Amino acid sequence: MANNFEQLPQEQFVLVNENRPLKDKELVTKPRGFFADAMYRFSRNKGSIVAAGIIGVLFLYAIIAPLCTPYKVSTTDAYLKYCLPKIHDNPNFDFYDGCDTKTTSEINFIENYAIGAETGVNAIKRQAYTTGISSIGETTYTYRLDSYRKTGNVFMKGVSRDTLESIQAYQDEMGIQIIYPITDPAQRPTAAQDLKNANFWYKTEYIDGRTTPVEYTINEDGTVTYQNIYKEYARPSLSSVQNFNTTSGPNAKLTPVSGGFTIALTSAVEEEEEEEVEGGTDTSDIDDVLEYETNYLSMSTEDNLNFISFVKSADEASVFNYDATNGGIYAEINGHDDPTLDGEYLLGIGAERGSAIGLIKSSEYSASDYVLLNAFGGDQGKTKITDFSAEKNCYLASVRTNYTTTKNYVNLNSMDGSIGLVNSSSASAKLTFTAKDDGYTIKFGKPAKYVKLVANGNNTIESSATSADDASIWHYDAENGSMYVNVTGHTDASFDGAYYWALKLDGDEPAAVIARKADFTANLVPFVVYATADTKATDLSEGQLYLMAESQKDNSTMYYANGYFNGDNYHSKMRVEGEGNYKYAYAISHGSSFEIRVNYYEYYRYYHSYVLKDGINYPMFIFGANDSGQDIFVCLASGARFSFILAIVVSVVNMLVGAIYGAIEGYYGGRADLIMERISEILSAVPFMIVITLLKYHMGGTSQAIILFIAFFLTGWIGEASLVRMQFYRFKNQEYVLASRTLGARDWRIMFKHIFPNALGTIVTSSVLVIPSMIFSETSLSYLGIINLNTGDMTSVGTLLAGGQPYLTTYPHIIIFPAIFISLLMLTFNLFGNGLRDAFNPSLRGTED
Amino acid sequence: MTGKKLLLVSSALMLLASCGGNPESSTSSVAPASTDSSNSSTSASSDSSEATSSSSSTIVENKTYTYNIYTTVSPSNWNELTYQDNNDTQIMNYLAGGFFSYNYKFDEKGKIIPGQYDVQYGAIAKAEDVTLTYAGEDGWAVPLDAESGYAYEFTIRDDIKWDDGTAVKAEDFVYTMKQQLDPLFKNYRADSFYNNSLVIHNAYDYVMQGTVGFFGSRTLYGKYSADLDDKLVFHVGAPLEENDPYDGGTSYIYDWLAGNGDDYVAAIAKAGFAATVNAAYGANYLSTEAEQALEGKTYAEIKADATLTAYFQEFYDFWIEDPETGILDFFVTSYTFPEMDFSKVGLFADTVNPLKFTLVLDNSIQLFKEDGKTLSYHAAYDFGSLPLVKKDLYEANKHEPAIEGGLWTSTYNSSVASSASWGPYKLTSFQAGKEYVLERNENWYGYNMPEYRGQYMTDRIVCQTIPEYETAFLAFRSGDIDGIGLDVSVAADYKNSKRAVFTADDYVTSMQLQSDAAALKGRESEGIDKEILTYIDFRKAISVGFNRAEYTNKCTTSSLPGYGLFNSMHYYDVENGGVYRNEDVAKKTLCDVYGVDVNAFDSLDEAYASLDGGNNLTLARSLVTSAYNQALADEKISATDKVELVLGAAVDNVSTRRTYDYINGAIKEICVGTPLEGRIEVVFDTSWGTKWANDFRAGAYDICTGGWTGAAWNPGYFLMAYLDKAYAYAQGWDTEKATLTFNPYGDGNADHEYTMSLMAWWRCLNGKVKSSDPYQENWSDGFVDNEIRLNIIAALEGEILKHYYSVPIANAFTAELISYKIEYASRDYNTFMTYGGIRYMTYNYDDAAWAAVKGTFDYKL
Amino acid sequence: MYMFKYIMKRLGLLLMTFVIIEIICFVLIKALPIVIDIQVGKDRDIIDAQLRARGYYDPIPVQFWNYIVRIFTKGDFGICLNLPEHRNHPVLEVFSSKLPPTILINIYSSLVSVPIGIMLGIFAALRKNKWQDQVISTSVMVFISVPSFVYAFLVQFIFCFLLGWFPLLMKSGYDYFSWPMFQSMIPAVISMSFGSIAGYTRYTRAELTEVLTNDYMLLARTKGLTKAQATTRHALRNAMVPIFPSIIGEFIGVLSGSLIIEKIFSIPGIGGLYLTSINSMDYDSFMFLSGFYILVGLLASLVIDISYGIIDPRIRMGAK
Repeated sequence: MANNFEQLPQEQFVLVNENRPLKDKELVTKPRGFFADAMYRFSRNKGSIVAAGIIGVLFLYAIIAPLCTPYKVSTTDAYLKYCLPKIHDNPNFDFYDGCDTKTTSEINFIENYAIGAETGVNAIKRQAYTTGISSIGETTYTYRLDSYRKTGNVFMKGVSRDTLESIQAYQDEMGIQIIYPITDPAQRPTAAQDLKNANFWYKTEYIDGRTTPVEYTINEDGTVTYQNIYKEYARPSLSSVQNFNTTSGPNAKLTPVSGGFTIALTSAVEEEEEEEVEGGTDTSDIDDVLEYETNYLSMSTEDNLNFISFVKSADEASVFNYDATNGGIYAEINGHDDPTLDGEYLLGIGAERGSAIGLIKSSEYSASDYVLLNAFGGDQGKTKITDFSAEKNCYLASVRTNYTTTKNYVNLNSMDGSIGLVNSSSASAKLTFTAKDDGYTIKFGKPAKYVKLVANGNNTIESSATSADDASIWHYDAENGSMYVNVTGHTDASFDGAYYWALKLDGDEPAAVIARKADFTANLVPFVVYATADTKATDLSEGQLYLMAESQKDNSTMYYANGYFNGDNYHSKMRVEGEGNYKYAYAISHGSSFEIRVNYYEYYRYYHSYVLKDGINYPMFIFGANDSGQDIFVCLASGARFSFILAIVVSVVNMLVGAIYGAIEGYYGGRADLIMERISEILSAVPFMIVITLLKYHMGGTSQAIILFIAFFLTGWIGEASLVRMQFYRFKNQEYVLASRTLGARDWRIMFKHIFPNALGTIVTSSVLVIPSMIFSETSLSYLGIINLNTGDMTSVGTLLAGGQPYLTTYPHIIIFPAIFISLLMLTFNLFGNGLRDAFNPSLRGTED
Repeated sequence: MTGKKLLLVSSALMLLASCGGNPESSTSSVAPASTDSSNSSTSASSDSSEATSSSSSTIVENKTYTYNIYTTVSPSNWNELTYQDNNDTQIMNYLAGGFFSYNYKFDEKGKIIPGQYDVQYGAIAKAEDVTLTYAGEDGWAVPLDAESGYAYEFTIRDDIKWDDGTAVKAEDFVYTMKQQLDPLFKNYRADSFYNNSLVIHNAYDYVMQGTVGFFGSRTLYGKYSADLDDKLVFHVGAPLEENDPYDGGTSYIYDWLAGNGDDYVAAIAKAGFAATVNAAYGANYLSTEAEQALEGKTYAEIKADATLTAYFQEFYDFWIEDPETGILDFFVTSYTFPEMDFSKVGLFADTVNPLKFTLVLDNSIQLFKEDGKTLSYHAAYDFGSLPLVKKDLYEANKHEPAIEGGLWTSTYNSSVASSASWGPYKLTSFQAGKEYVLERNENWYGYNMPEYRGQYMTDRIVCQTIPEYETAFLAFRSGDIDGIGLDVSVAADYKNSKRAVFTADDYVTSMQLQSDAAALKGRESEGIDKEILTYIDFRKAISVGFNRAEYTNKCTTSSLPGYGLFNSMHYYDVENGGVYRNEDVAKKTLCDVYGVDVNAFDSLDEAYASLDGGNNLTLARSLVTSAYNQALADEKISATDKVELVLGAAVDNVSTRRTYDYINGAIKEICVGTPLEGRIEVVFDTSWGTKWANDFRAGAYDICTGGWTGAAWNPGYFLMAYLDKAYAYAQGWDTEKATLTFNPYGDGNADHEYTMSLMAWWRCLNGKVKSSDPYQENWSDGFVDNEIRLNIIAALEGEILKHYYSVPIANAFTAELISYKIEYASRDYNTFMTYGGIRYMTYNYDDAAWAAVKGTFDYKL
Repeated sequence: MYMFKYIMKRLGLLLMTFVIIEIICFVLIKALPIVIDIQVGKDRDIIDAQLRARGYYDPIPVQFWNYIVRIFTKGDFGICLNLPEHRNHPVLEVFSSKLPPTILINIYSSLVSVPIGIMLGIFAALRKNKWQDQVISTSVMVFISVPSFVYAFLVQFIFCFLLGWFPLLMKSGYDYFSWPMFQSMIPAVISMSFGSIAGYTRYTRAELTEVLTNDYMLLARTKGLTKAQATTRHALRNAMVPIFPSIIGEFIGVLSGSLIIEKIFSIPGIGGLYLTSINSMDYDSFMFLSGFYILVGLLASLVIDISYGIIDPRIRMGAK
C-alpha cells in the first residue's frame, strides 16, 4: 500500500521536545582534536599496531645490537671468512652450530680429517663420517664440516722473538697448544695452490696437478693414521742451546775437580765484570743480553731422556773427563733407576741429524755419526783438505774465541796482506787451494792474491805474490792437520826448515803466526785448516774452553721453543715428542725473525683474548661472517642505523620541499604551475641512475654518502610535489573550498587549513614509504657498483645485500639475514603507512566504530 | 695463429687474474688444452687421439662435437687491422691461418714430453733469408755488414683458400698491409708493424705521410751533432698554442716528446731540408729587434755572430743550455712527412711467382736457428702471421670520414656478412652482446696437412655472453658450457676436483712509490711532509720491511709472495727452457736488493731461500731512521712534521680497501721504534677512477698498486715498462741520466766495463741503439749468447729494484674447471702450447651422448 | 577546444625542456677528461689522430654544433667508439637491434602484471582488514621489499636449474615470436612482473579503499545499486584517476627495461646500455640514449596529465 500521508489526523503527532534544546546526548567527552582523532583511528587498525611494534623492534636491534656483541664492523679476518651462523658450541647438537654437511671425495676427507687428528681442534665435527658411492663410482665421504675450525693450521712468517715468547707464555698459562711442530720444507707440497697450506703435516705427492695424500691408512675403527713430515732433531741436551751465532750466549768455564773438571756456563755479562782488569771482552755490540745466573752442567739420563740439564752448584754438576783417544769430553752416569742407562756418555754433536748437541753413549759412538765437541772449532760440514780433487774454495775453520763477536773466521786478511782475525766470513777472504808440484799454492779472495812465505827473521807471511808461480808451495802435515812451507836457501841457514802456520791463543785474541815445528809449545796450537771429525786437541790448558754452537746444516739455525730461557727445561705435556732419539723443531729462524705453524682457531682466541683483550673469547658469528670476515649481526645493525638516518633525513627534506612546492604549484595553477612543472620535469626527466653516475665522476673524492644524499634529494622531492599538486587539483574546486574562499579566507589559510589536510594522508604515506624505497634503490646502486658505502667502520644495508648476491648458491647465509631485515622493514613501514593514511584521512572521520 | 702478443695492460686490481674469466679470455691463443689421462675412466679414452703419429682416430661421420664456451663481454669486431682489446681476439684467432705454428714434441710411444716444443711450417711452404741482397742497398735500412735476419722471401702454400673457395695469393697479403698502413685510416693496429718486434721498413713513414710532426730538441739533444747547425733555421712563428694542431697545450708536447720522439734527425737528414726552429715560444720572450735579427738565420750563423748570440741568449734564458755539452736544451721544430708510394714499404709480392712475397725489416729477427734450416721460436712468435683481409668484402665495408678532414673507418669483420675466414673455422652466426657460432671451414688448407691429421676434433664452437658469474656457474653445472673460471668463494670446495686446472700467471703486482720530487714537494702542506719518499733508504725500508707472506695470506687468496720484476713464467732463453728466476745471477740480484748477505749462508740457494722467511724489520727500521736523519739534515722535514702518503685506486671495493688497510698497517709497523713512530699515516683515495695510472704518473698521489703483464719470453724487452718514460710509473726517475757501470761478460777484463745510462743499456740489449748512445753495442737476441743477455737483464732488474720506486709484492695464479665432456691434450702447462688448445682438444662425449648425461656430474669430487 | 590548445602549449614547452636537458647532458659528459689508455708498444700518435678525427679536441660548443648538424643533415647519430661490445657500430643500428627484446619482455610482463595486480587490489580492498586482505598485503610486501636481483636469481635457480622447466638464459637469435624463444623468456617475465603486480595491488587497494569510504558510494547503495554494481560503476571509475596514468607510465617505462633482469638472464636488451655508455665515456651513444629516455619521459608525463582530464572532467590540469 502506497504511503498515503494526506489524511493523517493532527492528534497522531506528539510534540517531542518543547523547551529543552534539541540535543540527543549530553556531550560529556571533550571534542577530539584532529591528531587525537587520527591516533584513535590508528589504534583501531590492528595491522598497523603490529607493524609499529615490529618497527620498534628493528630500531631497538639497530641501536642495541653493537652493545651485546664484542665484534665491531671494523673487525675483519683473513682466514675466518664465510663462517656459518653459530650460537652454540655443543658437540652433539647439530643445529645452528656453524657447520654444514658436505659430501666430498677421499682427498678432501683425508685433508679435513688430518686437521683434527693433529690438533684435536676437529674440522670434521666429532670426526664422524659416513661413506657412499659417487655417480662415477668413487667412494664419497659425508660429514659435518665446522666452518670455524676448517682453516686448521697456518704458516706465520716474520714472527718476532717477543711474539713467540708471548705465545709460549699463553700456552703455559692456559694449557692450550697453539704452536705445532714445523714441517720439513723439503717435504712440503709443491703444487702452486697448496704451497701456502700448512695443513699438510703428512706425506703427499704431486699427481696430475693435485697434492695427493700418500702412505696414510684408514683403520677399521674409522680413524686415520698419517706419516708426519715434521722436522726432526737430535735429542736436545744443552737445554739452553740457542742460536749461538747471535751475539749472546753462555760461556763455559772449566773448574778442575777431582779426576776431571766441571763445566760452568756463565752469562756473558757476569763474565765481563770478573775480567774487567784483563782488558775484558768487547760487549759493546751485545744487542740483547740474556739474564741468567751461572749454572753448572749435569748429565742425567732421567726416563731415557739423555739430556744435559743445569744445576745450581758445582758439586751437583757432573764430573767431566777428557778422552784423548777420540778427543771427546765425557762423564760417568751411575745410579740411574734404569741400570741399563748407566755408563759413560760423551758430549757431542748429532751432525747429520741437524745440529743439536747431544749425549752419546761412548759404546754407541761412531765417528761418522757424531762429531765430538772439541776444544776448538766445530764441523762446518766442509770438505776435508785431504781430498783435493779440484781447486776448491773453502773456509778456514771457524774458531770460537769469546762469544762477543759473531762467527769468526781466522782468515787471510786481504786488505793489508797480513794473516789476522777477520770478524766475518767475507767472500773476499775465501781461500782457494790449487795443486802444484807436490803441494798447493794458496790464493785468496778479490783482488786475487797469492800467499808467499818470507821467513826473514821475523817469520812473516806476505801476500805480495800476484800469480801462482811465485807463491810459496804449502804442504799438509796430516799428523797435526796443519799447513807448512819448506823454506830453503835463507841467508841465515838456521832459518831453513819447515814452517807451520799456527795459531797462538793467549787470552781472547788469537793470532795466526808462523812457527817452526820444533817451537810448538802448549799454547801454540797447530792451525787447523779444517775442523774434521778426527781433529785433535793436543791438550786442554786450564784457560778458556769455548763451546761450539751447532753447525748450520741447512742454513736455518734451529731454535728451540722449549726451554729457551731461564735455564728451566720447557717440558709441557702438550709437546709432540719424537720417537727414540729425535725431537721435533717448533720454529725455523730466518735471520732476525721466525717461521712457525699455528692452529688458527686457537691463535684467534689467543690473539683476541690475550693480546688485543677486546672481549672476544670464541669466534662466534650469530648471523655468520661475510667475505671479509666481518660479523653480519653487527654490520647489519650499523647498516640499519646508517640507512635509517639517511632515509629519515632525505624523506623529511623531500616532504617539506615537495609539499610546499606542490602546494604552490597545485593551488595557483596557470603560469606558475607551468613554469614550476617545467623545472620539475627537467629534473625528473634525466634518469636517476645517470644523475648519480655523473655526480660521482664530477665530485670525485667526496664521500659516497654525500653523493647519495644529493642524488636522492635532487630528484626525491619531485615525486612528493606531483602527489601534492595532484591532490590540490583534486580538492581545489571542491565546494567547501569555494565556500571558505567566499567567506574571505586568504590563500595561505585555504591552502594549509583546508586543502592540505586532505593531502596529508598521501603525503605521510609516501614520505613513510620513501624510507624503505630509498634503502631499496641504495641496494640496487650498490649491486651495480655505482656507489660503495662500505668504508672502514661504516656500511649500509644495500651494501650487505649487494655483497651477498654473488654467494647466493654457495653461502646463502650472507644475504638471508639482510633480506629478512629489509622485507620486515618494508612490510612494517607499508602497513604502518597504510595505517597512518587511514588515520589522517579526514573523510574517514567517524566511520571507525 | 698469432702467438703470444706483447700485451702490456696496467691494472689496479690485485685480483685481476682470479675474477671469473673463462678459458678464452686469458691469452690470445686459445688456452684450454690438457688431458687428464690418468683417471678418465669414461668411455672414449683420450690416449688414442693424443698422439698425432699414431693412426688418426677415425671420426665417425654422424657424431658432432660442439664446444660450448661463454664470455662476460662479447667481441665487437675481429678485424685484424683495428681490433682494440683482448675480447676482440676471441673470434679473430679462429678465422686466420698461421704462417708457422708451435707443436708438442712426442716421445717414441707417442706421449707428450712436458715442456718441450718444436716449430712447424703452416701456411708458408718455403722461407728463405735474402738479407744479403738488401744489405747496404739504398732505400732499405739493412746494415751493410748484416748477413741474416733482415729480409725474407716467403712462398705460401698453393691450396690456401677463403671459406667461400676463392684462392689466396701473395698479392692479398700485400694488399692487406697496404690497408693496414693506410694514412687515410690510421688503423688502431697500424703501429704493431713499426712499434713492436716486427718493424717493416718505411711502415711508419707510410702511415704518417702528410702529417705534421712536432718534435723538440730534447729528442734532438739526445742525437744532436754539430753538422745539423746549418740545417736548423731560426723562425719566429705564432705562439705554439694557436696554430698547433694538437691543442693539448704544452703538457701534451712534453708527454709526446718525452715518450717517443725517436729518430727524427735521421728523417731530417734524409729529407734534406731545413727544419725551422719554431721559436713560437720565443715570441713571448723575445724583444722585437731580436726577432727581426734572428729571423731566418741558421743556428750556425747565430753561434758565429756575437750580437745574434746575445739576442738568442734572451730566447735562450728560457731554454737552459746544457752545461756539459753546451747544446740548446730545448727548441721546437716541425717536420712534415713526405708523400710515399707503397712500393717503398718493406712488403711486396714477387712479379713472377704469384705465391711468393718478400718482407724487408728495419730490425733483425732470426727466423732460423744457427743451422739456417730449423725454425726458431721466433717463427711462430714474431712471424706467426701477417693480417689478411678479403679484398672485395673489405672494399665494400669502407666508410668515409664523419667530419671533413677526419679518418675513414672500416666495418669489415664486424658481422657475419662482412666476415671471411682462411682459418680452421668460419663464423656462421653472430648476435652482438648475445652469442656467436663458429663452424668448421672445410676449405682450410690445414685439414689436408699431415701435421694436423686427427686434430681439430671440434665441429662447432658456440659462445654465449653471460654477464653474471653466478648464472654462468649454474650453466656450467647443468652442462650448458664446458669451462668456467674458479671464483675465490668456491675455490676451496673445488681445489681437489679432478676437473680443476691451476695456471701460474706471468703478472707481478707491485707497490709503486711516487718518484716525482717536485710533485711531492708541491703537495706538501703545513705540518705535512711527503719528501721523505724521495730518500732511497725510506723506500728500501718499505720494501725490506714488508711481510709479503702475511700480505698474500691476508689480502689475496690466489697469490704467492713476489720479490722480483719477473716470476717463474718469464724465460730468458725460451728455446732451451731457461727460466730467468732460477738462474744464479737472478737469485744474487734479489739477495742484494733485499739486503741478504750471501756469505752468511752456506750457499746462494740457502741465502735465496731465506728471502721467503718474512720481512727484516730490524734492517727496515734502521733505514727509516737514517732516511729521517738525512731529511732532517737537508731541512726537508721538521722535528714535528707528520708524514701523510696518499694511496690511490680506481675503485673502492672490498679488495682494494683490504689492501689499503694492510699497507697502512705495514708502513706504521716499519716505523715503530724510529723517529717517525706515530707520525706517519697512509690515506686512501679512489677519486682517480679509470685515470688512476695517468694521474699517478703525473704525480697526483703517492702510492698505487699495479703492474704489467706480457712479453713472458722477452724479459729484456719487458724492462721497457719500468725504464721507458712513456710507460714507467717512476716518471721522476730520469733513466736517460741514471748510469750503470757493469761488465756483462763477467770476465774481469777492463775494456768490457761499460758505463752508460739505463736506457742506453736497454737500447743496446734490444738492438735499438741510437747514434747518441755512448756505445754502439748490439746485444739483442741472437747477436750475443744468452749468458751475456742474462747478466744484463739481471743487472737492470737489480738497478730498477734498488731504486725501490717499484716494490714487487705478489704473483697471482688462476684456477678453472673443465667439464667432463672435453679433455685437454696434457695437464702440464706448456709455455707455447698452453694445454694444447682447440687443436688438440678431445671429447669424452659427442653432443648426443652429452645431452643425455650432462646435468649429473658433481664437480666437487 | 580547450584541450587542443592546452596540448599544443604543452608540446611547445616539452620541446624547450628537451633541448635544455640535451645541452646539460652534453656539457656534463664532455667536461669529463678524455680517457687515453696507455699500452706499451702503442703509438700515441695513432690514438690522438683517431680522437682528432672525431673532433674530440675541439671546444665543446663547436662539438655540439657539429653533432646537431650531423644529425639533421645526414641523420647520422655517430659511432659507438668505445662501447665495450659494439665498437665502431653505428649507434642507431645498435639501438634498433637491441630494442625488440626489451620491449617484448616488458610488454609481456605488463600484460601479466596489470590485470593480476588490479584484480588482487580490488579483492583486497573489498575484503579490507579481513584475513584475505592481510594475506595479500603481506605477500605483496614481501615481493616489493626483496631486491629484484635476489628473486630474479631465485626464479632462475629454482625453475631453470633445479626443475629445469625453462632454459637458464634467453634464447639467442632474432625469431622473437617462436615458441622456444617465448619459453626462454618466461622466467624473465615472471621476475619482471613480481615488482609491478605488487605495485598495482597496493596502489589499487589504497585508492579503492579511499574511494569506497566516500559519500557518493553511500548514495549509490541507497539508490538501490547492488554492491557489485556500485563498486564497478562508481568506485572503480573514481579509483582509476591515479591508477590509469601509472598504467600508461608503465607502458612508457616498457622502453627502459630493467638492467638487473637483463644482466641475470643475459637478455640483449637496452637495459644496461645507458649506464655502460657513461662508464666507457662513449659520447655518441650517451647522447643518443639521453635524448631517447628524456623524450620518452616527457611524453609520458604529458600523456598522464592529459589522461587526468579525460577521466575526471572536473580536473583541468593547469586551470586557474
